[in-house]
Order: sequence, then structure tokens, then C-alpha cells
Amino acid sequence: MAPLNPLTRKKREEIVREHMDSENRHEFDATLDTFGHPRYELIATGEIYDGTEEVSGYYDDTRRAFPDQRNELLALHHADDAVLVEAVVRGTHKGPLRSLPPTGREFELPILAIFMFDGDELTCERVYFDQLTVLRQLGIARDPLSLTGRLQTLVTHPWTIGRGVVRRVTGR
Amino acid sequence: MALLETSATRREELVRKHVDAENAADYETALATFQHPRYEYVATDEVYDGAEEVMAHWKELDKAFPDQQIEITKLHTSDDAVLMEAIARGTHTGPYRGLPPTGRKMEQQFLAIFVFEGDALVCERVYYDTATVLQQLGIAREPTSVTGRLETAASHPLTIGRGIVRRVIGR
Repeated sequence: MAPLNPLTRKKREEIVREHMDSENRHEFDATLDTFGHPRYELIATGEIYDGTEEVSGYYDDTRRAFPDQRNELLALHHADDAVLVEAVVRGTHKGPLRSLPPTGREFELPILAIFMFDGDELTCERVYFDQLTVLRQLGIARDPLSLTGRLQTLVTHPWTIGRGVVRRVTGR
Repeated sequence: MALLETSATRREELVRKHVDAENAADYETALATFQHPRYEYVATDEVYDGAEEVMAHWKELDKAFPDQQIEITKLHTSDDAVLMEAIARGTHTGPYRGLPPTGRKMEQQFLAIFVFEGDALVCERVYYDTATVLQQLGIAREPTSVTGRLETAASHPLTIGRGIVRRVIGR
């Protein structure tokens, strides 16, 4: 493993910072330009957006749902072929999110984004985050391990829980 | 300041030893890979600090998912951390925090940041999606699926009602 060239490191960091800043300025054409090849991979949902058209559509959808969405960079890690960023994303749910009508609620979500590089060309942003953190704050899901969450689970999933109880009682 | 190659290699070896020990349910060895044992779960804000809490956390998981295995898919080594992409697989055959075992399998991709001070491992910070696991165990539904939507409407009438009202009146 050869040590990373300091110039490459500097260039990559500039690209990542411009990528995140341009999102905050709502200049999504500039965000697109930070990619050599535009591509997103959202691990939680299994979604992939590949190419300019799909990535543009993804920006349109998320900003329709959360018009004030912005990010704050917390930490940046340089690896051999990627820059990994810990960040917090915040926004208000003012537009439809898929089929869910706007709730008017705010969310705050810690994320980890892997900006993958080929030399100094950004080729993919892979994002790790927790869906439940967002859904809970929008008021459309409860923590299943809280008391109200457990009651809700029992009411809405009687079959799964019933089988589990039977299994525990019978030891099978 | 570029990280010395030998130090990077040592850290990666320690991370692999840590994961191997967890897979073997050899928690004493896993614990010994930490200079200071500490877990941080970003999704749930849970923190387990010190040998006692970390050991109790592993034992709890081991009871719920006794066959859990972690497969490393990529290690990213930076100046002060090793960031691991991995897949965890397991079967929910024991109780977990009041939830009886469902007998279902889970498989999920996650990211763990192994935080180092020099060559000493001082924290593992984990990013994962709780919704993926709960869906696979059959105790939550994708909220944009038809059954998920009906369930949301049934269990959160006020929130959804307000949202529909807001959409209709345009405020």
C-alpha cells in the first residue's frame, strides 16, 4: 500500500467539500459537476442512482420533500481510494416523500458517506444511515423497543409475535 | 502527514483479529483487542463504555443471534481510524429486549469505524439501518409499501391526517 500522494489528498478533499457545500447552496448542477461519473448508493434502502439523469431525479425528489435540507461535515477520513465523511443532515418535511404527505416535521440524521475515487475523479457516493431515525422524527414510526412501540408491534404484527411467544413457551 | 505503512498494517490486523474473535464468540479475545473497550451505535445513540458494559452487550447479542457472523467486505484505513464495510448475518433464535425470538434470518450491510490512538483501539462506532433488521425480523414494514401505508394510517392517524389536511389546504 503506497502512501497517498499529498496533492491527490488535497484535490479529493476540495472535491468533497465543494460537493457538500454546493448541496447546501442548492446548486445541484455544481454538485453533479463534482462527479467524474454521477452515482449514489443508499445502503439502507438498496437504492442506486446511476448517471446524470437518475442522480438529478434523486436531487429533485429529496429537495421536494425537504426543501431546506442541508448538511454539516463533522469528520473527514482519507483512505487509499476513498474519502469517508461523518456528517449530520437536517431538513423539514414540507413536500411529499414518495407517497407520504408532508408532515411539517424536522429531522436530524447522522450519516456516513463514502466518496469513492478513481485517482482524483469522484465516481460514487455510498451512504450509510438509519431510516428509522428519520421516520421516528417525522412521527410515522416508533422505536419498536419502546413501550408504545411494543404495543404497536403487538397490535399490527400479531402473527409474528404470536409465533415468537409460542416458540418461547414450547422451547422450539 | 501520511500514515506509516507498518502502523496501518498493524491496525488492520487488529481489526481482523477483533472480528474473527467475535465470529468465534471468543469475547475475551475480542475485548483484549481494545485498549479501552467502547461501542457507539449512531442509529440508536447507545454507548457501551468499559469492559463490563461491552461484555454485557456482546452477551445480549449472542443470546438473540447465537449464529451471527460478520463478513468484512472492505477496509478503508485513514490516519486515525480503520473504517470497515461488512455484512452481518444471523438468525433471531433468542429473546432480544422483551421481543421473543422470531426465528427469522437477518442480513445487513453496515459500516464500523474503529477509532485508534496510535496503535491502540479505543472505540468502535457503528453505522447501520435498524429498519432493515426490523423488516427482516417481520416486526416493521417498509412505510412506502401498501401494507406499510395502511399500518401507518392505522397507527398514526393524527400525523397522517394533519399531513393530508396540510396538502389539501396548501399550507
